[in-house]
Amino acid sequence: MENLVNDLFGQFTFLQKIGYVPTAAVVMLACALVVLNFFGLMSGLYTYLERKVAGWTNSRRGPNRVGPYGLLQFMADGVKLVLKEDIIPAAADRNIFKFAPYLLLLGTALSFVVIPFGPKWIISDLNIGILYLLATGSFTVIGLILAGWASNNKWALLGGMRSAAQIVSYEIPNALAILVVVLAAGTMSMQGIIRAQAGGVHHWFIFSSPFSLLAFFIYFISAIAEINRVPFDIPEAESELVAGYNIEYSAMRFGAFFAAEFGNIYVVSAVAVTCFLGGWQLPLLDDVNDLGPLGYGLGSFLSRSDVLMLLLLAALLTTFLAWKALSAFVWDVRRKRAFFGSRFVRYHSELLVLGLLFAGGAVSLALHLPLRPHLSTIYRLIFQYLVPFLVFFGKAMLLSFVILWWRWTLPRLRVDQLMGVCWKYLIPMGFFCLIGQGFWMWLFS
Amino acid sequence: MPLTTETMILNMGPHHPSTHGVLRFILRTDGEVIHMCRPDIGYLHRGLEKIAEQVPYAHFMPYTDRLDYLAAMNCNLGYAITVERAADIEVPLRAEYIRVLVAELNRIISHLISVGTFAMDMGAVTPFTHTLREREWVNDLFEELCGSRLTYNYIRFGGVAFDLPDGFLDRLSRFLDYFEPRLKQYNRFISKNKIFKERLIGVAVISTQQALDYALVGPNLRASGIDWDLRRDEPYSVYGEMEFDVPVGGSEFGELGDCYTRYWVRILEMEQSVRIIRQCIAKMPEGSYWNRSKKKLKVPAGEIYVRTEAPRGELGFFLVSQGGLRPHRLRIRTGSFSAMSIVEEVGSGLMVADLVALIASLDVVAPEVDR
Repeated sequence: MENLVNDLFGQFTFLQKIGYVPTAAVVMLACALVVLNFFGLMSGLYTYLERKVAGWTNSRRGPNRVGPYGLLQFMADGVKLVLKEDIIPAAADRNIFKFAPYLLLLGTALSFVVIPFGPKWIISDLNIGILYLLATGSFTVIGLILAGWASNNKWALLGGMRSAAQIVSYEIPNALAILVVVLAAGTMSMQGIIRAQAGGVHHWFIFSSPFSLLAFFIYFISAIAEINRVPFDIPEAESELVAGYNIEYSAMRFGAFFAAEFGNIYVVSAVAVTCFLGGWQLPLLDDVNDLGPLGYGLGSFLSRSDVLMLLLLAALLTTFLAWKALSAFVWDVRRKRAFFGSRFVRYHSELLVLGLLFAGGAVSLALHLPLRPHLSTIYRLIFQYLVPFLVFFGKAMLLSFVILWWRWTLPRLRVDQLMGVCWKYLIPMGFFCLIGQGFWMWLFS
Repeated sequence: MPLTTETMILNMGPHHPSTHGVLRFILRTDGEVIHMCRPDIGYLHRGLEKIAEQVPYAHFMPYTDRLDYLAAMNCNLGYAITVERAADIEVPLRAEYIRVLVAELNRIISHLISVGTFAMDMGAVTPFTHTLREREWVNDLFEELCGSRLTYNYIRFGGVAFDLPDGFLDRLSRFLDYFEPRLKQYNRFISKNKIFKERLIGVAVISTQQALDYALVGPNLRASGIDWDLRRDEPYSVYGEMEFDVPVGGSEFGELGDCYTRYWVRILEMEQSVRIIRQCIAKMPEGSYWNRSKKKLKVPAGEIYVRTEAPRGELGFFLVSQGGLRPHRLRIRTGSFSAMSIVEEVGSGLMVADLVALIASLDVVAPEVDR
């Protein structure tokens, strides 16, 4: 089994002197720390993004007070949630009430174990990774029912029951869609699924057959239903159930619910990216299967078209930054502002920093690469960790944006309609996809 | 062992996001299905009718603002017409046109709120902020006109409090030019949304007979297929000179009298209001805006009932005067009150989510229910 501990152990000889078990313990702890922090950061980022997206769709501004562009708003919110009084209703089942949000959080945090960040960057590439994800996803429903029940509130109970019916039902199409992928990839390991999609955009499962394309939509819809987002947010339907299962929660327990919800958005997007959008693979990458452990060269990792595309992206980004800076500069010149106190400095100082970093990185890379491509640590870090991570993250963010965007655009379904969508449409379509994919593979391979 | 289930009593409100103010419904539900739904009103009772007996006629005008805070102009207008008819006060023609103009403008923004909150109750938040954005513009116009943005207190006995400011009509036309395409945008955005239609079509149907039995008024009545609009059938002010259609619910979008028809009638009414306002702008006469009397107003003894078409249907004022400075009795009949009465009959058998749709589609405003 491929995992970070084995990788590091094989790679760095000094670890072998320490021994396997202590290394594993330290690495695991470090991983847990990193993942939990990443999880927290992502949740925070999503609360920010959600409010920004809400602002854009609602023709208002969204958070813009705390930090640059309101970016630190989530920290302020987090501090507020931690400091608030934690109220437990007198008639609540105290222990279950206290425990429920953390069960929810646990389910989400556990999912991060098998979510890849790059070809070498995954905590544990379980050979049943995707099955494991389905299992951890089910923690959510227990947490929600417990929360709904323990609150001793009828609205919460209704929310809990709704979520139970919803999540249990939607797990079926979800699993069916994933089975299509497993069938196509021939493996359940997350990295294996990504590697099976190597060789360019037409090998990604979303485009590789009509059935897997359909499976992508089935997965995406049922996944949104599983994480209770609009148009399937009936467990917390604000205008019907006030707040649903979390109605009696306050302070950090309430925060835990939201951290789990927003963390789940990333999990769902990441799984969709892994299963259907080629994971951390670049769209035009030729082959990543024959990559050596750590010492491969540029040619084997990136095709010429990929380099071109990266350059194009860089050029676009540079143009955008330059345009922003220039427009601010023109604004200043027109109003004859002094340099300090000008719009350019006040609002776009981060652009300057970003531009400098960008330029510096490009120059150093350009100088560095041709000289010692096989030995360069920076190069290795960038192309083995950073670039795949950015690719994966970018794709995941794109899907997440769609989820957030829907949240603010669509009305919500009624309970019976929601069940109808699942049992009448998604599940039959899921079976159809599974059988169709089998035929497709039998015909074309 | 047979599984026993029992119904539960669910208390919806007075603090509930979709009860639009302070309404309370006592539900007996079997899971999500409502077996009984009883509205419990009175949380916003301020004794407006009693206040009317304590203050001079003119002093009651600001209270009518609070009668239906989303359509203060229409409430002003209804009360003003009642007193004018009772006391036989002449209104200059320019004032009549201004009154119709502001009343229709207020109908637009009232329906905007209705449509926006309706979408929000169905889970779509964005239409609400967009309709509020448009409403903001009208609020600005009203602010220019009379200094307030919500409770206008603009209409006086015998006219209106202020003349139109310079360039007001141009700015109003600009708003209308902006607003008409927006309506089409809303239709693309929410009215024609598949989920939205699924949620509303065929839900909480109020039959024609039921609508008559419960004395529904306004858009709710017309959505049930009864072609009745006081602006056309019993014209007051200068509505008789205006050309407009009365949208009546049909079965083109599903069942007659369902939630979607009630929603759609409001959308169509906004279009008609724009038409009326454009005619007012075109025909706006010069002259006095207020036939102002220096004397204290005394209404001759007698009874009068005057009804006008407010955004939430017929708004009736029944005035009993014994010839003094104050009314002997002022009874106010509002559309929201009769709309609330039908909730109990239509509400049972719905799901909780449908009840939210029903309340939103009746466009109930709590202060108008309780007065």
